Amino acid sequence: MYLYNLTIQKPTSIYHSIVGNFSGTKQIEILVSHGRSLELLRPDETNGKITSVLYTEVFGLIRSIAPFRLTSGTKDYIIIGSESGRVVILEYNPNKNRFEKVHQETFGRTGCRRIVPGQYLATDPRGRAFMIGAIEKQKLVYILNRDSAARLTISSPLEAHKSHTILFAMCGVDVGFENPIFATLSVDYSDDTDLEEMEDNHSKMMLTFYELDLGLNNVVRKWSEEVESSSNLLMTVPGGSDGPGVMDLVNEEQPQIYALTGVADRSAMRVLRYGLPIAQIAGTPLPGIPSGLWTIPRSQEDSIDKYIVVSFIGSTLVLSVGETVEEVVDSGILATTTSILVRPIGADSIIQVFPHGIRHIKGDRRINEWRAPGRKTISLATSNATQVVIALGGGEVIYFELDAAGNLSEVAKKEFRREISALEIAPVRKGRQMARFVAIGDWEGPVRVLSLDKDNLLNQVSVLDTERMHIESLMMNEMTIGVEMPEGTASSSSAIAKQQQLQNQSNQVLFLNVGLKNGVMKRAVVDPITGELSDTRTRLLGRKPVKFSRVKLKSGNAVLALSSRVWLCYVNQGRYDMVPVSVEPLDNASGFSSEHCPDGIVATSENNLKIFVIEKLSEKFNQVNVPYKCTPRRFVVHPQTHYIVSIETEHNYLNELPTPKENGSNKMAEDKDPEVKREGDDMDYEVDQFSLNQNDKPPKAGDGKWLSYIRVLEPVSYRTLDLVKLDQDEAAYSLATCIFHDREGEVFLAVGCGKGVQLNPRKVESASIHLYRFTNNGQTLQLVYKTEVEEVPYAISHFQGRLLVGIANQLRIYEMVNHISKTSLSVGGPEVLVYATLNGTIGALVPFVSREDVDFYTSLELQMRQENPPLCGRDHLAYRSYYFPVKNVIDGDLCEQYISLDPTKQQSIAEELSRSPSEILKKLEDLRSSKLY
Amino acid sequence: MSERESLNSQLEHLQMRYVGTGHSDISKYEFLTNQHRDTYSSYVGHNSLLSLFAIAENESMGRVRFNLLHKMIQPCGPSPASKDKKDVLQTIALLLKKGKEVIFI
Repeated sequence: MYLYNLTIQKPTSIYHSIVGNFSGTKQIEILVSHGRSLELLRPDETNGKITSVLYTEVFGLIRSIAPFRLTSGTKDYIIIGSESGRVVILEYNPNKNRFEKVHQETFGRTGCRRIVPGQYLATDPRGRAFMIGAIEKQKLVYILNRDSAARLTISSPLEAHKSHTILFAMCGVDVGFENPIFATLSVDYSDDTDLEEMEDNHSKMMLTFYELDLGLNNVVRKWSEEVESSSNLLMTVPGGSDGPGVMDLVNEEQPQIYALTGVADRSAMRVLRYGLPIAQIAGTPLPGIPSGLWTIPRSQEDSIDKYIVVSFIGSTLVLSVGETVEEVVDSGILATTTSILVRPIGADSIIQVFPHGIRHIKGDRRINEWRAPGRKTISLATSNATQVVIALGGGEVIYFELDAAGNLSEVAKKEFRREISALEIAPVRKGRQMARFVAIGDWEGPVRVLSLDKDNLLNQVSVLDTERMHIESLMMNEMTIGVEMPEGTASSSSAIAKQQQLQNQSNQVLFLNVGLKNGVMKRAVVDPITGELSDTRTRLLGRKPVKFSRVKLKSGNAVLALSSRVWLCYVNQGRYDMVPVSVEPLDNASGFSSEHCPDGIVATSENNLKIFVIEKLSEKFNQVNVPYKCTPRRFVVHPQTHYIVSIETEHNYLNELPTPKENGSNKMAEDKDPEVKREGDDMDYEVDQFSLNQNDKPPKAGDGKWLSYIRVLEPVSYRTLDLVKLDQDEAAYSLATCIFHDREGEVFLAVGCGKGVQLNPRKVESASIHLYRFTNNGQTLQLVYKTEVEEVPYAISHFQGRLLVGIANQLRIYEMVNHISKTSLSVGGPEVLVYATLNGTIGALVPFVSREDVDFYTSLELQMRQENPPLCGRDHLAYRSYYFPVKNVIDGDLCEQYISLDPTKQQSIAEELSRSPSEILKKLEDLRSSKLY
Repeated sequence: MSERESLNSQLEHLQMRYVGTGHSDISKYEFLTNQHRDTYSSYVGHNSLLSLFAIAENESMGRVRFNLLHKMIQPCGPSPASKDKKDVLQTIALLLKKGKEVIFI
């Protein structure tokens, strides 16, 4: 069997972070390392939010990162120390939104070895040199400079080795423009240390300074002095205006890394849902079930909305947007009829299309009305800033244009003799007066794209087949896809043409989205000149007919697709992305912007109106956090009530907290009393608990001290039903629900515990299995009895009406957090293996069905390995085969990097595989959407 | 220089260069010390292992890393040779204290 490995949720734990101006602008950016991937974050100073700009897998282990800037430069480069035996200098290219490798210097073997540098990195604050060090002995210094073309150059390494030393920390010292100096913190363990020290069993911690003599091109050990033996972190303290820095040593007992890894999530149960999280701003009930919803901005230039228009059957409600949302009657919009379309047109006017005509409300409140001919009624309408197209019952389409005087005039008419079901005009392209295409769909397809050119009015230019399915809605929108092409030198004229074509593609792209009645959405790219449709993608969105609405996001235009689930189609890091939104099913939606929320969404669901914003576009999982008291170890689901039963165990913790003298004594009291947790106001309490953990952390109790809880959690409202505290030093290790064959289907809970367990060396006072009975409808636990056993039971399982317990050391200890399970992730999708890791990654292994797919992905992976070598210089195959040789598993993360390659490279890989780039892109996207989300 | 000698000097050079390389006459103490140091440095290098330990021990990652680095100094205690030396010195001191005569040969 062949499997396809794909990361669904990227790792959440952060191991390193650096600050710098990586894109070369004044904007401060943060680069974080997730251990195996890099992420560039940009904080927004106005609203305090952080947006993710770029996320890249490096297929290597990042052990250290450092920023540096050449003298008088404006841009920070990034140095990465990894387990590849190489040092890599990266530059962020903001145009392509990509990291580019500037230099790669090899100095040692691969792997996290004792004497191969990579663990420590220090840069000269003036950007003239950097030092890279191993845990033991080896340190290398590289000199950085610029050549005549202002490109970064790197020297061959200078050695600063010292054997028999273990390095604890390293940093660069600010010496202005003197010779660069690096400070290290190390311990000498050579055998000739005198006997006094042997007795004390700790050696001298030495602070050593190394000077790089730029003139002589060598590194010398300047001086060395003894410091406190518990010193463990070096950092520079800025001093003077531009003179030599004051160097100081920080005896930090708790290094910052602690805070960066995020200690808060350690004691929580996270419930993850695939979908963008939202924040609701306002909500109000409406008098009926609305049929349409629009927002009207103040004027064409001003994006702030003035009105929200809601249409019902037989009436229209106009709400004005201000401090509050109120009904208004003087808007000029006819209130006594159903509206089909209300939207701004021209510079300052509004059109309202209703069944019997079109009402054109000008900026000065003059109203022009156009009446539908005879007894015909308007069934559909669409418009952009200058054009209006309506469909009458019976299949007649009429096209209007806004003339120079700002009046709407009929231009053309066409009879289709078929009932029209959907109508959509393309938006006006930047720098043009009119849009050139309108798309129409009828009850049994296909979708036709008609031209609006003067010489070819309302004639068909292209067709999209929908397999005779009822077309529910259409949407045309422009999106900025990809990034600009670099100025490349093409060898032949055909290559230039190809490149230009690609360049067109990579900017504003006009998409035609088709929503079908069966919940399927089709998307195609419309050629801006000929109107040809290409690159069709299909996706199942839900069970209800698909409707679309335009919304505005910070990153540009986006489309909300409404079915039984709500999906957002938007451009994320230069890629077209489609993600469900975690919100109840919506009937109508529209983009909404006010002073307070520039990129909100107003929507209706049954008879409720609500306004919300999508908070984090990069966060594809919606998380619910249930704070726990201790580190959660395992959980089971009760087979009948579906309550979650979990065990939490904390090492190094006192069960009875000593009551502090003054502040926070009541917090402590609460902490001791689990009853409060169960009945009291959860939120307030949790805040207290959180601050308690953060600030006044209880003293470490020492080895062999444990605190454990068993918790029963209701999975719908995340309410804790019961919390059982175990005795002091009793640590819960495993649990299982069990139905004993002689107890008539009653469910018991078995918990394996150890008392006074010491981790290293392994020791245990006593161990037992606790058996609990569920009482009160499974909500509370009652201890039945404890069975003494000789070793800690690490694994317990229900086995044919008996309890199977692994006690002896034949059964291995399974990792606490890491987990793997078999499940199906998408509706009707195949079963996949889903795993979670300690770093917070969630990934999936998808089995391949056809041999053809296996061959395709194998060769794609092969090409990607050659054409796109991992960023930090590690060999991809060696990295993936580090613990065990990779066999029959294809790395989806590598294959998906194809999407972010530049078009010329995409083309060359595609040629090798004898396919077209769009075919490959489609295949990658289809695999993700059909098998996963 | 004979072939054997050059091989020996090459080996010595390698051992100097690559700390932790073994040889045929390695003592048990030396071997284990090297092995422990290698293991600890691997733990420190792999962040995920470090965080696993940190969770298990309920300590910060920084603390765990510091402890591991500290253990690298003398992972298996002082070397037997230096221990012998110390024992001898202690015995001499004891004998002198008791007023006994100690003859150094």
